[in-house]
Formats: sequence, C-alpha cells, structure tokens
Amino acid sequence: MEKFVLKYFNLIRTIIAILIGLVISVFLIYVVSKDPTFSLKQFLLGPLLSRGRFSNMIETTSPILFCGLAIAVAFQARQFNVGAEGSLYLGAAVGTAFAVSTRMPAFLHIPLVLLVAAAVGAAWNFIPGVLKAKLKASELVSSLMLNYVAYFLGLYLINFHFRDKKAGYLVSLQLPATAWLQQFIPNTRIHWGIVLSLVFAVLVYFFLYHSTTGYEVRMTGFNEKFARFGGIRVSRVVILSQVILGLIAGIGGMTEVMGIHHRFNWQDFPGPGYGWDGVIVAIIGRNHPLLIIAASFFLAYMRVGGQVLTLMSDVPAEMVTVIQSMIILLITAEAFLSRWRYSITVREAAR
Amino acid sequence: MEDGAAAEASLQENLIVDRYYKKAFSRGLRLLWKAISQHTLELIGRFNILALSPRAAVSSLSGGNIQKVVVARELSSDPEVVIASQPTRGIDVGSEELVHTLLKEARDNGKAVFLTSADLDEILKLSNRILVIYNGELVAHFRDVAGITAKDLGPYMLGVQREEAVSGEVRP
Repeated sequence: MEKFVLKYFNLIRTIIAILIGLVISVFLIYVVSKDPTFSLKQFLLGPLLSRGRFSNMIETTSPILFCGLAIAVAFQARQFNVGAEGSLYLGAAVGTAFAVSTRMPAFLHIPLVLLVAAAVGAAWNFIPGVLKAKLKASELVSSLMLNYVAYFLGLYLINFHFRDKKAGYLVSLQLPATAWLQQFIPNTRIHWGIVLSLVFAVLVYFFLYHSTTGYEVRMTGFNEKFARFGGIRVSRVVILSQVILGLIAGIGGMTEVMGIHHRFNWQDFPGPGYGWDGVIVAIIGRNHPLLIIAASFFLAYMRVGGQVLTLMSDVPAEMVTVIQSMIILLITAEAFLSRWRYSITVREAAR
Repeated sequence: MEDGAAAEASLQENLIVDRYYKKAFSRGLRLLWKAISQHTLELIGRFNILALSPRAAVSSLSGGNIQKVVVARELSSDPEVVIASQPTRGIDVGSEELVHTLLKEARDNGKAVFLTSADLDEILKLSNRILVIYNGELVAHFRDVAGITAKDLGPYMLGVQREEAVSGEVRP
C-alpha cells in the first residue's frame, strides 16, 4: 500500500487536492445559492449531460492544450516565458489577415495559413528569447509586456485593416472556406484543430524525451551550468525553447479561428486567456505533454462547468471564478502533502 | 558537485551529457535510449556505482556515488588531460581507492593528470612531481618524489622556506 502511494504520489495528491477543492466549492455554493443541490449538479454534471456542452468542453480543450504544450517546452528549459497568449493572439491575427487576402485551394491554404501563424508566433517569442540569452533580461517580464503589445497590434491590424464593416459588430472579414478546418461531427463544433492539438502533444512528447534537441532543452532546465560544461550551447537552447513556444501557440490560436468562428473575434481586453490557461495546465501536468492532455481536459471541464453554473443557477459569475481558482490553486501547490510523503519514505526506508 | 551533475535528471542522462550527439547514441535527431542505457550499465559496472537502474535520479544516490558518476563520465571519455581537484573529498574509503586506481591508470596510459588536493597522503601516493604553492606563488618543485614525505613539504607549505627561481617547467 505504502509502496503504491509512493509510486503514484503525484496522481494521488492531485486527486486529493481536487476532492478538497470540491468540498470547499460545495460549501461555498451552499452559502450563496438558494437551491444548492441544483447548482452543484449544474457545475459538476452540466458539462457532461448535454451533447452541446460536452462538445463545448472538447472544443475548449484544444487551445488550452496547444498553449500548455507551448509553455511546457519553455518551462522544461526553465525559461519562465508566459508569452503564449501574445503569440496565440498575434499569430491568429496575422494568420487571419493572410487568410482573408489570399485565394487558393484548401490543401494549400490551410497549411500556409497555419505556417504564417506559426512563423509570427515564433518570431514574436524570439524577442524575449534573444533578450534573455544576450542581455540576461528576465523572460518573464519581457514576455508578459510583449503580450500587451501583441494584443494591441493584433487589434489594430484586424479593426483598421481587415474589419468586416457589414458585420454590425467588431470582427474580421470571414475566412474563405478554403481556410476552414472542417467541423466533422454533426451538431457540434468539434473540428480538425482538436485532432491537430493531440498530434502536437505526441510530437512534443517525442521532441522532449526522444530527440537530441529535446535532451538539450531538458538538461539546460535541470542545471544550466552543468549543461554548458557538458558542451551544450545553452544560449541557443534558451532562444530555441522560447521560439518553439511561440510557434505552437501561434498554431493554436489560428486553429481556433479556422475551426470555430471562421473570423477573428477576440475583442475583449485582455484577450482570450488561453495562454494563461496554458501556464496552469503546464504546471498541473508537470510539463509532461501527455499529462498536459489530461490537465487541459480537466481545465476545460472546469471552465464549461463554470459557464453552465453562471448561466443556469443563481450563483454569481464572481463566485464561480473564485471556486475555479481555488481548485486550481490547490492542485498547483507543489508542496501539498509533502510531509505525508516524507513520513512514508522514512517508514519504507526503515524496513 | 553542484555543476558536475544534474541532480533531478537520471543517471543515464547525466552520463551522456558530453556524448549524446555521437553516432553510438543518436541517429539524426533521435536519441537511442537502448544504447544509452547499455552504456550506462557498463559504466555502473566498471566504476562500481551503487544505483538501482540507469533511470534512477542522480539525487537518489549517495554523495560518494554521485562523485563516482562524475568521475565515470569524465574518465570514460578518454581525455588527454585530467584536472582533478579534491577528487576524493567526502567519499568512502573503497571509492577513494577506486578513484586513485583510475587516476593512476590514466597516468600510466600517458595522459596528463593534474591533481590538486588538501590530502597530503593522496598527493604523495599518486604524484610523479609535486609543486607547492604558497600565497599564490610557486615556492617549490619536487621533480623526483622518491623518499619525499610530508615533513619535506611542510616548510614550503607554511612559507618558511622557498626555492630560488622555481619553475614548473618539465625537463626532458
């Protein structure tokens, strides 16, 4: 039993954290709701009970997963770059601009649009990468600041040059159908971008754990000096890991536009927030691409559950955010239950 | 020690840091984990490292064994020059003996071994030549260590005595 606990400690800890989070949410919902049983059911089962909401959950998983994978590559090199949001936003904006101004068959249009978004995302995060490698500027600060720059650059591009004046609200022109990622399950918006995000999870896994470059990335993260003494070109890795982050996030943003609305419609400050969700799932999934799939799905479940709760019950949206944040906070607390593990380890060793 | 190993990384990941790109361990971009863990098992055997598996984290090993991991990696890369600074500080007697044997082996194979140590016995036991530095200056050079004891080195180490115009030069 104790051996089992030690082996699966992280999984068990995550489950216990979720359970504690749920107990506190139940309590909070009981305090603020007149019909707590109904509200609780909406929150926990809402995302699972209707086809539409279940599909919402799958759709939400995809951009979160893209950003989680992106962040994980940089985090594995111990580069605390949080620029997924900016790369996602600007990549999608420039990709949209490219898509609406070109005409070609789908088999060319889709990959080219994705390529443009990837290139823009990658170039955008090249900036904090180079600043870190050459000038030792904190990538956390520069990527954070660049997120705002990306946001307003993207808005400017879409609203002043590619706005659909006939739409009646602030959106870009519609993408030509040749640049759409088809929705392939009837009555849902589940599109090929979601499949692509899963493919990327596998690709990132092989990159990190089975390629020489991935090895360089991880060694730099483990111990930068050690990696340098071993002959790894550390500053190259520092830049590369952040460029890859931008590349994946750019593709993630573009697939959202190509698969769901077919227009660029992220107008609300401060952007869609997937980049931040990416940071959360990278931490919950311990920067492991395959665990990040599960973490993204869980976060999407929480997000959709929150939407359902806001929509269907008398629990105010503010409270919903509090509940979500609290559960996430518990899961990401690394030292949670570490004493418990310590005492088991000691007992095991004494045997 | 801090920079000689990546504690959270596995034994095999630590051992290949200076050779992962070589033909034996990678093809194109792909790492050949099978060959790498084979190589690691070999080094575990040859250098007498106590570890559960090649995938064990280096942080799970004892201090002496971590030191052996570093020594194993450095000496198995067949270096022309070995600079060993305090190579046996804080490790057990058995491992100390092993490190000594390995350094002597390297020397006997015609490699240049530079040893600095606070352990006088170690220096007297392993060295062909001994240089004494006091206050940042070279104060003595024993080209022939036969019959030299700690007593002979002492006055130089304390700065009481110094040779005139010492040079570290090796005469053929």
